[in-house]
Amino acid sequence: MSAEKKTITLNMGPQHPSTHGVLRVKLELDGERVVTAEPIIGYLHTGIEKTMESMLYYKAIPATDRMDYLAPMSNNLGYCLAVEKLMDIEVPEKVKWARVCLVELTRVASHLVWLGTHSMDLGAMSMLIYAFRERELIIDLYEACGGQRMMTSYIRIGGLASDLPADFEKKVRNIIKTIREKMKDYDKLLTENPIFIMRTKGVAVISAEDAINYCLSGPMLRGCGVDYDVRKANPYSGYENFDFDVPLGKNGDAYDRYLIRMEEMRQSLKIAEQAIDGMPEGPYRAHVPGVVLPPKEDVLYKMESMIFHFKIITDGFKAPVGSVYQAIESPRGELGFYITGDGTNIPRRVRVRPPSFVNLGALPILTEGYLLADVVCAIGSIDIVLGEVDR
Amino acid sequence: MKEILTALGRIFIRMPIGMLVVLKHLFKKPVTLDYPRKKKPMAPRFMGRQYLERYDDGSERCVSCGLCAAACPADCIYMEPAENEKGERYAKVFEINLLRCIFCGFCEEACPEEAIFMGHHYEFSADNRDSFIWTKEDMLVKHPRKDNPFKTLFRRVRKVYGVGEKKG
Amino acid sequence: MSEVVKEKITAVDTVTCTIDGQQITVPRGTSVFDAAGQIGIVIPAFCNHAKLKPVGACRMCYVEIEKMPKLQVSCATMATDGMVVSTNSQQVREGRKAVIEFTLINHPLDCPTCDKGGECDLQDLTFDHGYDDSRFGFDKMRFIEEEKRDTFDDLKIGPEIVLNRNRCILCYKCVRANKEAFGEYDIGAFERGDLTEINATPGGEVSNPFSGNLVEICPVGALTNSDWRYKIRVWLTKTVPSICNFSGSGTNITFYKEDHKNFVYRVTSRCNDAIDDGWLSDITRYGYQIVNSESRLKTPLIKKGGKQVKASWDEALAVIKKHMGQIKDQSGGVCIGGLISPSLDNASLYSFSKLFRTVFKSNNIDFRGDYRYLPSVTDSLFTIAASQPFSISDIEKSDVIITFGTDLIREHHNEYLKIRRAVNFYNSTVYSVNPYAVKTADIAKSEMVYSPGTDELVINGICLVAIEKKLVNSSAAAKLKSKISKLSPGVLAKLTGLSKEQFEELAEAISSAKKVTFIVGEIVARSLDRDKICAALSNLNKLFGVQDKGQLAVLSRYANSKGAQKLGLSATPYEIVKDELKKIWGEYPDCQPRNTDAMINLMKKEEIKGFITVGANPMRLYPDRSFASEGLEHVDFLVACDMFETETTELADVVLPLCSWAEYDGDYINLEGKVQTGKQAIKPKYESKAAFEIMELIARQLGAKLFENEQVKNEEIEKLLKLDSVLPWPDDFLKIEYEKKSSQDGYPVPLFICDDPHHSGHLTEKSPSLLNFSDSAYVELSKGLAAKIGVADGDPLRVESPVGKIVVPAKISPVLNSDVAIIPRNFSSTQTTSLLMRKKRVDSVKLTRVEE
Repeated sequence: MSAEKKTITLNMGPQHPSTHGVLRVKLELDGERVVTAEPIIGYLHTGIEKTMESMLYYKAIPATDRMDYLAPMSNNLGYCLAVEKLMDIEVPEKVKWARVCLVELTRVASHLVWLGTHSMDLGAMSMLIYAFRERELIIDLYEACGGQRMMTSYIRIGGLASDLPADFEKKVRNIIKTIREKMKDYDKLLTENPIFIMRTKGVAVISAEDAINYCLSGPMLRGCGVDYDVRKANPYSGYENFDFDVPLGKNGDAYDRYLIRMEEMRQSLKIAEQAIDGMPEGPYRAHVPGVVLPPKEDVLYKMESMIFHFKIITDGFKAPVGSVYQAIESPRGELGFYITGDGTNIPRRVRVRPPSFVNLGALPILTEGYLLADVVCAIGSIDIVLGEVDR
Repeated sequence: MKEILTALGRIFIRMPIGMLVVLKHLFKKPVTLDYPRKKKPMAPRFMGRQYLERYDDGSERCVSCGLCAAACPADCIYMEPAENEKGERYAKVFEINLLRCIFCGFCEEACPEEAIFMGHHYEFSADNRDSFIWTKEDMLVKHPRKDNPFKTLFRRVRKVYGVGEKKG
Repeated sequence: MSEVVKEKITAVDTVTCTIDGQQITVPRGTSVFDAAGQIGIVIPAFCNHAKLKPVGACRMCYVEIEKMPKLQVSCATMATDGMVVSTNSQQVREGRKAVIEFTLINHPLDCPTCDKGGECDLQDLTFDHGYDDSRFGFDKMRFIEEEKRDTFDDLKIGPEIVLNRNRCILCYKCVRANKEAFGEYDIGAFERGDLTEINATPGGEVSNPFSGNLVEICPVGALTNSDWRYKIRVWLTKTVPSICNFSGSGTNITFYKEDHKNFVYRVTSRCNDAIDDGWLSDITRYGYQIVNSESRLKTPLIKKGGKQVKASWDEALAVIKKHMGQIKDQSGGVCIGGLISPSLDNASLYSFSKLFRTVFKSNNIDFRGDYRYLPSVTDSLFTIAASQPFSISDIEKSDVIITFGTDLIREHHNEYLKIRRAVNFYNSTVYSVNPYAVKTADIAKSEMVYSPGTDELVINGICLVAIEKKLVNSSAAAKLKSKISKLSPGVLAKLTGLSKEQFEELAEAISSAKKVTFIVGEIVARSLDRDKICAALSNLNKLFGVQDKGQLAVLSRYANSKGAQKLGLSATPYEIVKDELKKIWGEYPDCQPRNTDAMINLMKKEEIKGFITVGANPMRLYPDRSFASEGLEHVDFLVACDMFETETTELADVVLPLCSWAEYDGDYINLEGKVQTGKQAIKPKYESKAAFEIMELIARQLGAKLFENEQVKNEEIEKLLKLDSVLPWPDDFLKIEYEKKSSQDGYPVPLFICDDPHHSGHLTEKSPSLLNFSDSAYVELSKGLAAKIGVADGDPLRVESPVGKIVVPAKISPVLNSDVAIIPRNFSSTQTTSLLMRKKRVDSVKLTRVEE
């Protein structure tokens, strides 16, 4: 080490409670001030993109669950929309509405986890317990729909895995009601809490210009006042039919992002409510011979259905030659799937644009010049999921 | 001055309001369960580990067609078909490696004989790897399910009329 | 012919039509289906097969043709001039959908249990062209066997074939292939309307030597085989291209294996139009089972105190080092001999030759362990005849095909089918000239059965008649006449048991043919007087100019016989091969060359003390069992490498387990001289090693090194294969002496030892499926002879020759019509070769009934 060097290097992670996974941040510290913070990733690399490239199209769905494990439905939806775009499949109206409802509840669940962990990082212990208590309701809904609590794989190419459960509407309404109620408590606990404000206001600031240059998306981008939301900009799955606002921040600091996420949860509940109110009747799967599985009842009685079932399961379907990009607004930002089909039954290339990964790139700017303790707040306010960053 | 007032207001008014929320919870019933003494009922569609179904006459439904293994994204199903004394196909070996299984339920969806289904059992920890390989004996249900949604299916499903009689 | 007329003919011969907007010119008589195929338009079909005549049974290949009101089946519609075809119009698509819908009305929902699932044409075409929903809710029809009401619908209709009539879509492919390609009639269609069923002929079973093909071409799971039954799903397997190891033609096959298991699951064809048309014999299809056999040699064995005990490779090699080293040092390498199987690959054969010639400095090697008393003469006429070029695809281009001294269905399955194809599709004329009636005769224009042992006289007769009739060049005729004119055609006819007219017929056929194929087979090759017969063939060739307008060759029997010749594996290799070897090695042993017969003779005199057999089983196959066993028992130190325990390995001091051909990459040269590669499908099972590895190990034990690396070995082999190995016929006509052979008194019936139609060599009896076809030896007789002896089919019969005696069941042959007996040599339970004498041209036996 040269004599002039006054900074010290500190490794935060890869085993650190506030890194939300296995992230290593290499910090250069001048006293307690951060000079540079370099995120080092790859500790959770699972090769999901490569795995998806070696599988039949329909088999890759469970792999998407495991990227952003806090918002599995969003990942399912992004992938399925991309494949549907590639295969040129139009799904039934009911599927669209059900998907919107589920994805918006996923946003709430994801934000609740973020809220709990972020506030716990900043010292608010009970928030975690409350947030997880409410999230449990949404997880229960997943279980009732797809049978799994986290890795749902419920949204499928051309529709849903199975029809919505009978008490779906009741459950969703209960969730909306309960969470709206509880959000008042969260406000009381955090929004005006002086400690929370001191820890977050003016911390981890990023300018709108920087945010755009760093390709940030989601609350990270909207926190700086940039009005960009994929649901409004490029509506998918029938979002154009829903009435909702996109909350925007002013300062681009951690507190603004907190406010935006809180508002997003309210908006999501609003969308979910609209979806459940206006849910049309209809099939839960598109009728696309050779791509979407025929109904199970037919498979047991009709030879044609048996053959189609058999062939789809064993050989999958052949996608046309071409590339598609489909982005959705995941809780963390723009989640994009880029899929190249080569005429065979497995994709040539699957590329995921993970919002967490891109947003994490802004960590050096967010932390430069702040105190060491603020790094925790910065990481938390990005809302990263390392499973998605490393894939 | 205004800022100081706001700050003071927050400390003396807002914080106690927050504290009150926490305090209220002291008198509420806990939402947590006393697991494992108390268990939460699982949703009807819950996907625990796999079972193999029987026909009403007690014979195995599984014909070892391999569709579940083909659909499995984790490649956790291994089977070896064989011929029984009636000339029918059955699974001589049927194994699921639960360490690989991701409980996605694709096998249940793929099964054309309604043989494999995901049960509600989710507690199967063990202290050695071998005991996670579930064999056919472990998975076959003792009695056919009561709430089988495809109860209407007859054996082999096929409604047929014979021509053996006509030919005499 | 003037240019104008020529042009006219070509103009008439082709037609130009438009298919899907593309113009194409095809020869007249081409179906629309094939014409579309030529420009890459695939029309879906169930019943069409490239190697069979169209029948138009499935109606799947509908196309729309302008000016025709209804859809037409493209496989049975010939393309005509100006035809405008569309293969993918709305109407065509609807038509296909309807056809599939009808096909599926009575199709059972068997996909989960059906072995065809995953490679089923019906599934694929339904998936690609059919509706995804059914409109027929009524009950499906099902065939019910009275006594099998409770069991599954599968019927076993042959040793290896299982039929499920419910799945059948009546494309008649199996019936047609059986009839048109294989000339068998053991499967047929019965009843009418919706009761139509494919079944074995009443009371019979489907057991022809090509029955496995019926399963392979079945577009649905109606015909499945027991071998592949409920074994594994096809999508879990991987395919490896390889070559058949049981026949001389090098039929192309595909191995099916799985990644996690060291196991070959099945063999299917890999259609190579130049060789095999996609048909496999059952030997090829089921013979692979020996690879998986549990009874394979697992470890090396060494003899300790008179008993063979398991040993490690190191121990076995140490024993070889000790004994072989001792023999080499004390008595010299010339006291070591070796015999290798001609079914092994080039690398193994070449390593074997190099081991003997450079390490032992001995010329005692051979690869023809089943040819009796083969004298060691360089460039013998037999060697010349065997080296002649031959092309399998030229068979069907020939208008006259003569099979001489060959029972094709027992020796050359592939050529057997090629000849059938030539007759059925190209109107060739076949003459079958054999010492006994053979199966090929049913397509022959005339069948000629001559008395056994008079082969060269038949050829002479043909030549003489041709000279008489002035069918040939007179100067050549005069030259030949001086050599063979001692006997007149009339006398020859008497001696051979043929008539003069038959000679005339053959002579006229050969001389008038535009292209002729003259196939000579194992009956000649195994004959003691093979050189004499080949001399007669040489005369015939010269007289008629057969090779100028066709081909004449003795076909090589084993997978790599040709390679063995080219690499100099016989004791006396071709001169050019010898020179090349000298050049490569820088040395060549100058000691006396000795072939199998000479070596066994010297063993008895204890002049050969060490002997190595690789994949060869002289004890079973050498046509004088007592001679071979006496010799091998005298050997001081016998090393036997084989896949299984055989009669030879039982005598061995050291037994080394050998790899099968599925376990390493190897090059094989088929009877055309074409080099083909068989790829490694699985890792060597147990502790077995490939022959070339074993040779290298032995050489290293003895302080030498065969090859620095793989590349050197391949380069050396490459050099040898480049040599032109066709030997020239003698320039002059040859004199052929006729010796009158006195027939053995009291042994009236001539005996022929050959392969069973379902077996080949000594290994296939380890394949369970082939044993289902035939599992033990028998003596095949004509109906007349059986009646004479008073035996019925299956009765035990005592077969006595001057040197041996065996008891085997009688089998009445449907084709034999003269007094001969045929016994297969493939079963270890019957010591067939013990009946033979090594210096006898025609073995004869006495057949007597075994009294109860």
